[in-house]
Amino acid sequence: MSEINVRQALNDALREEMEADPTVMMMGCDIGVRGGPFGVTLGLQKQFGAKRVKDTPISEPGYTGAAVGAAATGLRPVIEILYSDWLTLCTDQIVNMAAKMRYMFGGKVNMPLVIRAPFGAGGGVAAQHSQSFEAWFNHIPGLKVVAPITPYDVKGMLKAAIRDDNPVMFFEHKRSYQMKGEVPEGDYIVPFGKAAIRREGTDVTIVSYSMISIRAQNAAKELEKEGISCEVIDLRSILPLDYETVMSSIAKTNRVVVCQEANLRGGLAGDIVAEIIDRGFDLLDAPPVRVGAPNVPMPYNAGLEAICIPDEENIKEAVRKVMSND
Amino acid sequence: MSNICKNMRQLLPNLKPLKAPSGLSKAKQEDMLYKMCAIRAFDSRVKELWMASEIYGLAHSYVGAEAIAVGACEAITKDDYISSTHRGHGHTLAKGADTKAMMAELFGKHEGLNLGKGGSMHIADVDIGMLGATGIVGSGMPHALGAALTSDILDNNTVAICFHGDGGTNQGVWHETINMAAAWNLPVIFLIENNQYAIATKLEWVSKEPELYKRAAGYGIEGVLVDGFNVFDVYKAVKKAVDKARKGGGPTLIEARYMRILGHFVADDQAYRDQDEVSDCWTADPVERMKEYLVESETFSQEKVDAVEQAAKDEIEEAIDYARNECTEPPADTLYDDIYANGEVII
Amino acid sequence: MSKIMTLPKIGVNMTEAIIDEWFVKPGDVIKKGDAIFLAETDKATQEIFATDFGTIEKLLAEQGDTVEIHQPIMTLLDEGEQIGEDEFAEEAMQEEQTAPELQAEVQAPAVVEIVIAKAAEPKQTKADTARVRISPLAKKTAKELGLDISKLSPEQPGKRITKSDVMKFEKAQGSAAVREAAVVGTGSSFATMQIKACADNMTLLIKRFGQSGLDIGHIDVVAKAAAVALSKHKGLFFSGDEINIGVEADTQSGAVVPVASGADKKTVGQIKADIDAMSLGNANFVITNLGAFDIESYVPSRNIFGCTTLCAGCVTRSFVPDERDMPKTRSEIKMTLVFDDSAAAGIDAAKFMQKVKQYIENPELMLL
Repeated sequence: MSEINVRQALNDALREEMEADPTVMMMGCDIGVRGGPFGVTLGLQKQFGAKRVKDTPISEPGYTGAAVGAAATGLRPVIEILYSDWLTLCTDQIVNMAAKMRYMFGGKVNMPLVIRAPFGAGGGVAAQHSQSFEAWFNHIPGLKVVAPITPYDVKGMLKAAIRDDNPVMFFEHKRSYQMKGEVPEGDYIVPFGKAAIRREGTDVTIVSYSMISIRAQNAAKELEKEGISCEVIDLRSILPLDYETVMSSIAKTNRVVVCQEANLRGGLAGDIVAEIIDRGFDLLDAPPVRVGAPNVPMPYNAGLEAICIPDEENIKEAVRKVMSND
Repeated sequence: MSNICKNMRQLLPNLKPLKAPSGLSKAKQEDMLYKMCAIRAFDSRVKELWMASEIYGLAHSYVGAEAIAVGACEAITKDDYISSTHRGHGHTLAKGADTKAMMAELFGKHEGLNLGKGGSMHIADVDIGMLGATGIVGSGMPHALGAALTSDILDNNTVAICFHGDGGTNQGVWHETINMAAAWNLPVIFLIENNQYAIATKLEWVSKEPELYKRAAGYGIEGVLVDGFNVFDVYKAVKKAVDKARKGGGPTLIEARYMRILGHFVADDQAYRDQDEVSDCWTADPVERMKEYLVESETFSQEKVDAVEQAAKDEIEEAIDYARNECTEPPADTLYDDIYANGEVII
Repeated sequence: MSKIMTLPKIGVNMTEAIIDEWFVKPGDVIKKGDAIFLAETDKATQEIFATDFGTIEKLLAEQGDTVEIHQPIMTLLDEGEQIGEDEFAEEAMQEEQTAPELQAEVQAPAVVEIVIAKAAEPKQTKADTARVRISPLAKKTAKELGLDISKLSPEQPGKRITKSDVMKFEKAQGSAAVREAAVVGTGSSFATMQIKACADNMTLLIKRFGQSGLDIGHIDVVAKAAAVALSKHKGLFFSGDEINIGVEADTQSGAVVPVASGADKKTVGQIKADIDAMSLGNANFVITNLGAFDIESYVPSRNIFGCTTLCAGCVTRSFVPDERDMPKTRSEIKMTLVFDDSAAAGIDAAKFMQKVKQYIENPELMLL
């Protein structure tokens, strides 16, 4: 085991997969010579050459579509859309082509495509650089969507994504690159569709993913002092989503809080709550509570921004609400 | 050429007399004739079948453009790739797909090329290099670039022909795709099927420079204008571009200029067009011109030409018969199949 | 043999066309693509073109008619055929025309059925007019325990009723439905028996206790008597050594039954204290005291508490014959036992009642 940060975990995953399989290749702006504006792809062009680690022009629809065509003809592309906000530019190729080609073609095409799109809020980068669109892509049959946060999960799930024959939206958190964690030596993957229980508890289940799962764990520690025992689940995999783990936990606690970093309306938490009610209404001793940001475009000002990023206090408040029987 | 009316000669000054290039075998010329007749028969019958509601949804006829698909595909091999548009039947047939499986797909049958899941607008046969028709204008273009990337990285010396229309040239992704192909020197042949109309919008109303091949200069690549009603003119230009690409010479932009004969899709009555122009188009009919040329040049006899045409029509009738009478509906339990790879189902 | 030409669909949303003007008539020779009539469709007035060739035999619709797509509009003869040659044509055409109608008939009932079925679904009328604020889990738990949710209350007024509220209520009520120490048998079959006891000594005892400062009532003595009697008949109505008597107090607390746990080992004063304090416990024997409302005797129609119940009436004055058959007065108390006679034999229950009567009539016997 060694302790590495998320950035290194991504870099290692990409390198190991490209070493193992010559059909894996990468495209994105500034990923080659510069090693990526977030430093994720440092050293990779040097090792694998400019054919396999391609610097693209600012042509998201063009190079996303090229990746779709490459995937259909025998390569395994991993593309980067530097800020997930810009997925709006290339959504046609993802939604209308990558997600649907296998189905429309009666199964007669392969689509092993990974789209890395760092998401998440913070740092004063404001409205067009702070969004999280996992709810949109969760809606599209044919895609897989993951949002790991620990270095262990990040490395294991990126490797799994590259080996998956389906198009995968890989949402790393753009504020997580320095976060450290233990990662084993050698090859391993973290399979999709399995959530991780970060903390066990008996009074309430907190369902979360990505950065907010870290905040949920912090909140749970503090709530212990108030006599509330929280079970914190980090989903890691959004589509497919591990409802088995979620429902087993709720069967134990009978109360649930679902957290997302994105603004509340139309977000993933709403879909999860609806599924929970569908699968286990009678298990609930209180209505489920959601945590999400206010429905505003992310403001620049630091104080206003802080209000728009759900934190430990928001989570604790939600837990107290679900415990209150009000 | 003698039959082409004056009006058409004025509208399309790029029209040229047919002449088979030296070295093009008779067998290949017969194959070209057969495929053109097959496409003509296929899409003519498709229109009738749609009007009788045996085929449904949307279908876009390739009647009038046969020379382009056939001329282009004749210049590449089975291992090469093509990307397509919504008007994909001609591309699929020219690339060599099975007509029975194609017709079954249009009928929505389980035995169709796409197991009944795609229909006319998404017809595909990736195994023979046809990357699929698509209903979003321009969305197939970058796939040709992707195929060229694969060729480059796997070093398999294949090329990709990117079929697209004049409408598609005004999509942002057209610019991005050509730019990247040129900048990376990849083996893509960009083939504009310029029929002058995007549904009812004339090209000259929305493009200040309607001579589309001239745009190539902006990307640092060669631009070529060919007669879209002339199968040999298309063939020659595409062959030259393919050879250049295979040798590492990068992409070429070819504009095959013709005029749309039938409506945009099967129920389009073209009321927005000058009806004289529509009837004039038939005088430049590429299939008739090919038949005429082959007889006049004494390559084949009239009987031979007629027999080839009839054989093509018969093949299409057989395909319709097959689709109507020997095929089955996709079972309801195939609904969730093939959303994901390897039989995985996520409901 | 004539062929039928149908109206082609020429627009994506086209469902029918009105014939404005026929361009052709029977006897005309037409080929594919010839204009045959002027039609008004959903989009515009436009020409309809022939989809087949031949000599027109008969037009099947007239000017002004509305024709649906794929409906026959004319019959055609091939080259060489004569009009009138083929009498089968008309029949064939009739078949074609009726066949779709038949299909429609066959299909229609299904549609009608569905409509009717929907209408027949009665509206769910809710019996409870006041909505109870209760969580789904609590509701389900209450249902499983056979509890009436309208009797439940939340931990604080205004709050939602949760599972723990249900469990508290269930304990307090002494419901035997899920009790491990419950009586064998479900309590669905039950019997009653009545006994009358002389209450003179009990009344005297109460008076004496009162003079020494201990304030008790008849029901407390009855409870003690029942407890001691139960200790002499262990296993009769329930298993286990614990004797927990619930007494339905005459406070207006609704369904809450205070319990004197281990009543056989408690003094009368302790029993009373438990009842006054509304103590909670697992009652396995309940005493109701409608006598507090001057009710002389009460025979319930069902086993309300799910365990053996003794319904005590009020103390009354009566005339009874003495040894010489001369009337004398005494106080009496009537008690009705409600018990599951599939679990406890009637004769054993009777012996128990006799004991209770003895203890009430001679309280000093309880000292033994």
